[in-house]
Amino acid sequence: MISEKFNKWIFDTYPFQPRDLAAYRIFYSLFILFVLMPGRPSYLYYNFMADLPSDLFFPPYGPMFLLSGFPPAWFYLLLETGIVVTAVLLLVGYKTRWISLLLGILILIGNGFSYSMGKINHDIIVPLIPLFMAFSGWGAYLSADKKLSDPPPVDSSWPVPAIAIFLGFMMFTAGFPKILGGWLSLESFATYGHLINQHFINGRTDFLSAFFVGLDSPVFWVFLDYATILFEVGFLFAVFSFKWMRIFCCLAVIFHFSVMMMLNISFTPNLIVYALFIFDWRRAGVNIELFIRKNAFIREPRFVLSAGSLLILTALFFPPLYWLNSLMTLQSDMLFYETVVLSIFLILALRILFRTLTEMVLSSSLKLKVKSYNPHV
Amino acid sequence: MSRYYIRLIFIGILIFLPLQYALVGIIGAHRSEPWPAFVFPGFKNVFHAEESVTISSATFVALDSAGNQFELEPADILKGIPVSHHGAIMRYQFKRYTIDRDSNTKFVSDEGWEWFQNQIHKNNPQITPLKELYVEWYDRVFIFDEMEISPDDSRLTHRFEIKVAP
Repeated sequence: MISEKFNKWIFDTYPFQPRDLAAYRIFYSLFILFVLMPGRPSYLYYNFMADLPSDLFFPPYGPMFLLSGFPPAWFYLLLETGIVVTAVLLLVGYKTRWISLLLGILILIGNGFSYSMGKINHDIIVPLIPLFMAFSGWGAYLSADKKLSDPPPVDSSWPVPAIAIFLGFMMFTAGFPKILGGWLSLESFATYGHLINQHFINGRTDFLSAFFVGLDSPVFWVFLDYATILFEVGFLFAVFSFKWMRIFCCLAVIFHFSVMMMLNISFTPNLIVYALFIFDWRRAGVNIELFIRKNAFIREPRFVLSAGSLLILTALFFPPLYWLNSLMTLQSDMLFYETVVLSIFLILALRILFRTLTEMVLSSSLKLKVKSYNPHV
Repeated sequence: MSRYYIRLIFIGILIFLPLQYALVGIIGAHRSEPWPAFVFPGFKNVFHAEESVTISSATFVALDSAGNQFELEPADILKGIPVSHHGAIMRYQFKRYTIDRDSNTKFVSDEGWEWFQNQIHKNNPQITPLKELYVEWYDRVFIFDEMEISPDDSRLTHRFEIKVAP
């Protein structure tokens, strides 16, 4: 019985077809290239370490502990360019399995050095995705591999529930210490405390920060403490249902948007994994395939080569979202383009959340009606 | 990949995740969080509204060859490194672990001293040449009253010198 449920969860809960995963692969590559922006602050940004002395090298326990200092400048240039090139190759689906593994490893190497000064950003899920997806069928469709008859195994969507359990567990690790730390006490205002710290000490005074600092409502702050824990711990249980995972990922976008408005902290990298569960990749895959069929020139090697080169140059030298930062400078260390990206995700997440909840309510009321229907009466 | 191996992978993941979490807790209490680790930040600290808030913060003190003293914010010294790293760099590299307790000094290499000189010169060209460099840690107390916060007291808790290792 348990074994049956276990099998059902692994193989049937997340009904992703290779074409759906291929659409997500394209999204993932574009997100890496134009949102996380290799070589630009703040995520896949490594070249700032080029001038740092080894005195500042303070690696955490782990593989970086085996090293003794920062690499020279050319290494970061190679690394950032390597990430851009592999992301473009992933986008076109060339040697997808190997490129996915390489991209994941390159990001891990860069992050490893970047986190060897004391600060660790908890964005390991970003390289984890291609490392897992390398074993899925995300290169079997909408790819150069398909054209070159070099498709990876097709029937393998198991990396999706694997990523779900990693995400759910990681969310749980955010909620569980809060319970131990006393967030559930009615006398503590943990969220408010963090707001005060961020606002007055760290200078995160953008957006609605000042408004919330002045909000004298103990009930509201206690509610936020409880809601945060419920949401973060509940994520672990959501992984067993695709529908609930979608709902929780939509809530996560709303949560991060609220955190950005209040505490001026954005978790932009997380959006890349929420997107896997939020969006309708089946429809996206069909639309992309239709588009490619209608525009046959897209499949021509010459077009792929020139468009790929253009993408590499654009991502390296003129990342389009980066110029948004010049429109507004924020007091906090957030960049304006992150606000724009998160706002777009918020609108989409709200729409999908509303639709999913409506569907759930309608289907459960329909089930009730069917149950109570007695043909003999 | 056969279903048998996929099942094994999942069983492995389900065993691995809690184990690594326990390890993160143990290592984290001993030194700092290990990496890579599959955790999100807990932000477990709580704040009691009736209490004052004590925040530990650092200031660099630079002396030039004429004996003039300049107070510099960590952001002045760490300029070029993303701001989100500054707090952790100060906490881990200029507070614990890397300070020689006997001499109360943080020893750096020639390369490291040159970097400090360059950073200070770049952002504060009046401090030339840099002769001595200190870090001072303060406990700054803020009083929280009626949803307003105001500075109350500031106390020097630790002062040490940064110099080239002999």
